Amino acid sequence: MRVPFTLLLLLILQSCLAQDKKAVLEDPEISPQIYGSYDSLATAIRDKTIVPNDCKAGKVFVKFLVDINGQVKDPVIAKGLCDKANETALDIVKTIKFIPGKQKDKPIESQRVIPITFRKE
Amino acid sequence: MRLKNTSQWLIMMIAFFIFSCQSQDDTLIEKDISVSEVQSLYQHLNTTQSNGRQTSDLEILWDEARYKDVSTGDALVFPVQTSTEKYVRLQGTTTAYPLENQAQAFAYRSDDGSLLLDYVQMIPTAQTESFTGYVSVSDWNGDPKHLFHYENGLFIGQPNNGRSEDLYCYWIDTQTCTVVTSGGFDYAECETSSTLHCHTIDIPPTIAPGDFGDPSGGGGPGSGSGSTELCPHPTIAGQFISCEAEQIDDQVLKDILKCHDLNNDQYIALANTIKQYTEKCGNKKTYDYLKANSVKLCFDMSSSLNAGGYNYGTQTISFNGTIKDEVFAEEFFHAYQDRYYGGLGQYTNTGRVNIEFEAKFYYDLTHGGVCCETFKRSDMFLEYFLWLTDITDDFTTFPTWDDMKDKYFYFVDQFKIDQPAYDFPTDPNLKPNALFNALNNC
Repeated sequence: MRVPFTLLLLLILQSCLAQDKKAVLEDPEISPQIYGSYDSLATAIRDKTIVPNDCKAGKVFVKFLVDINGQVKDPVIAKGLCDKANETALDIVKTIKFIPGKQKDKPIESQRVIPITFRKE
Repeated sequence: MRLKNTSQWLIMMIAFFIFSCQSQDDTLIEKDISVSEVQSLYQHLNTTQSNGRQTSDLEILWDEARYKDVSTGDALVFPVQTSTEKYVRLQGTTTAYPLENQAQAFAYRSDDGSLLLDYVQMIPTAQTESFTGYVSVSDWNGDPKHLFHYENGLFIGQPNNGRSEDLYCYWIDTQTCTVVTSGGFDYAECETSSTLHCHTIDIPPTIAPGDFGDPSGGGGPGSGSGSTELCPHPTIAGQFISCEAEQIDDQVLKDILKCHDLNNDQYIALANTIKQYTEKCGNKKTYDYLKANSVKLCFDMSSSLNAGGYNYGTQTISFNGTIKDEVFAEEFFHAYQDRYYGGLGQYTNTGRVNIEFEAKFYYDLTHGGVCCETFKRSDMFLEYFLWLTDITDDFTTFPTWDDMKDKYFYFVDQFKIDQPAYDFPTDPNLKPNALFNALNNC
């Protein structure tokens, strides 16, 4: 009877360990992070984000890929305002540098959207 | 008088060179040790030894060599400098001291006449008028040789004459910064790495934790400033910052804290992260909810995690190395869900994806259009994002269940495809009620 008892103990132990691991809700990766903050970005681009008269104020949402070096790739307008504002938003986003997303400490490519807010003068 | 052994004269020698004034008579006509001789030894050591100083970024300042007179003859002391910012701190303490002026290379002849090159590292433990702390001597390959203890300039002893062989260690923290231009501003990107150096010795006499002393005295960088507005930096000894900035408001952390295994820097970072987190309406409600229900959490670091995690078995939030805002936000929301739903143990399998999706969905809804934590790679990314803009009127309002009910579970299922780590059975009845509770009236 000794062997089955030992096996039983091992199974209980294994089950406890598995349960303990299951009790952890884990985030599998870290998202890309902008250098500074979105507030500092808003301050830096304040003079560039005034909409022309024929365009309403609001947000242009730019979608892009953050590559493993933190560079913005393939920016496109996810939801825009007018051509001029969209164009400006794309130009701004191209100058932004990110800390790339990471999975198991290795940089990975991630999609991202950020809003660029435009206002009337 | 000739001292009995190398250890004894080293004590005297090191005490001498640490505490003697800088002006030395270097004009002796003939020396029994030369700079070029030491340079040859240095080259030899660097090519024949696989470990040690040659692999670090230490640079010996050959031109600034100074002669010292020791029992076995002349010795040469060389300042060293590093290309990166380095700090030294005793293990078990949180006070770090700038490495600059705290390390030297020391060349001398042994009793048998052979030339030796040692690395001398001062490890301050308090800021006093004269040196207080330990002086570690190791050979150029990094092997420890001696450790000396000083209190305000007085030699106390060698803490290796005792009863057992315990490790006595100090850390060298290296901070490397590069400047990155992003969105019109320059940012310093800094990374800190640490290396541990140990002596196998007896535990030394009781060491008081780092005492910053009075910034207006004690010979620190603040000396003579006369300013009453400066306070010691909370973690870097010898550096002073605005007293206002030094105030650490950790009450928000204390109110929900059960235990932690964080160092001083991490503790401060966590307190600041929570403070910033609670500035948003929904976040504050999750925090207040836990506080009102007397929920206390533990915080620690776990290198086995990718980013962070919440253990509902132990109510512990863990980070992998760095405390990042979005990692804290997600794990804290899980702690809130744990309480709100009456224990997350019921969602170990079925419903687990609902819990994970709700936490990320909450994050996406509350960041004004900076998106998305939920989808990152699949084609679903844009469809999900545009759905968010619809149900939030471009992130100006928070949605109701009626706004989202047509597509909510559709995106929960798509989420499993984008992030297979969350591939658990969906609970079709588990609506994001914790989210609604947090965003109600926000």
